[in-house]
Amino acid sequence: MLQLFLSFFWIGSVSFGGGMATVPFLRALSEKTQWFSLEELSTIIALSECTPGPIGVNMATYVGFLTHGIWGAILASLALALPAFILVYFLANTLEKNRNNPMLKGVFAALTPASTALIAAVFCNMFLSIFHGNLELQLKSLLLFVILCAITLLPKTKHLPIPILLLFSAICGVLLKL
Amino acid sequence: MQPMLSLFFTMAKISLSCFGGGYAILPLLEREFIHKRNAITQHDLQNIIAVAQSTPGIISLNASTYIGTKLHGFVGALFASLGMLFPPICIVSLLSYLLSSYAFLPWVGNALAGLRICVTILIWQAVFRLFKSSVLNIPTFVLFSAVLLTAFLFHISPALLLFSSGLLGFLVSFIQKQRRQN
Repeated sequence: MLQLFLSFFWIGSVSFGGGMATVPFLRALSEKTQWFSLEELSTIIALSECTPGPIGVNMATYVGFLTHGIWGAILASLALALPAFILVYFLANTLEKNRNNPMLKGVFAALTPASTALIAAVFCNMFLSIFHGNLELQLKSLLLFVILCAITLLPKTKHLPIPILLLFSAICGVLLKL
Repeated sequence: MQPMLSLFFTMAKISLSCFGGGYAILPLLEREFIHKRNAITQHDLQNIIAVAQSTPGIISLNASTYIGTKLHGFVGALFASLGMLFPPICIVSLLSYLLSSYAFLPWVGNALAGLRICVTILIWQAVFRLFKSSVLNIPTFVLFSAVLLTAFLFHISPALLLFSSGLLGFLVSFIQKQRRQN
């Protein structure tokens, strides 16, 4: 339980810029603790996109629940929220005043592309992991991938809400695989 | 106690309406706290956004902590944040429980496989969005590529890469500042 708390406290401290920023750290966590695999991480992300509430919290809750039940869920979420809570509460005034400090701006100008790159790295891994199993499975996966790409790019369908898209993918998954 | 509970439930309600990402919460906060309650100003909201983006952690949580602090100090921050956390904890726990209970059904595995492909695309979309807003010139592009290659090829800890980048940003700004002063 302590490890759960510390892990999410850590993730809560280093994830800049929204829920997706936690993804690279969650991946590192999965490699370190073996609590879940990269594939399960995808499931976690999918669920977090469907449920209301901020994505990062959803992910923390899910992992917490997986490892230690409802108490794990509560502990992980609180751990995730705690660093930000402390920072915002104590530093809100300082941050407000120093908003336009060029040094601070410089740091964030570097942090945001780095954070994006980290998420992109996870994307690359996930993309490659689609292609596993026999040739037939790989082709079917690729087909669904292409269909989904098309849906998200074509003007008529690209504004479909995310839960609908996920539902569609889940149904296709059932229809195509096996 | 009454205003605290009201804050808790308001945040819980907003949390419930916040699908897919922290930025979606901002118009909701605007409607509730600026127009309905008249508790904060537009300027405050801009500050909140800036602060929430600068602090690590989730934007919506940071924003709720900030609003809570502004309205009712420490206790307000506590109730606001807990309110925001409460719905996802309940819902996701329930879903996770259901998922693990029914994981033995074969079609569940197939559905999840389909979901995974969709998630890959969602992550791509997030990367694309973030890329457009953060990689604005050659240096940032170089940094982006460097971090991407290192993370993908060498499995270096993301925290290390992030800290190095922050340090780099700091050093560059520092040098620029020195140059300007001379």
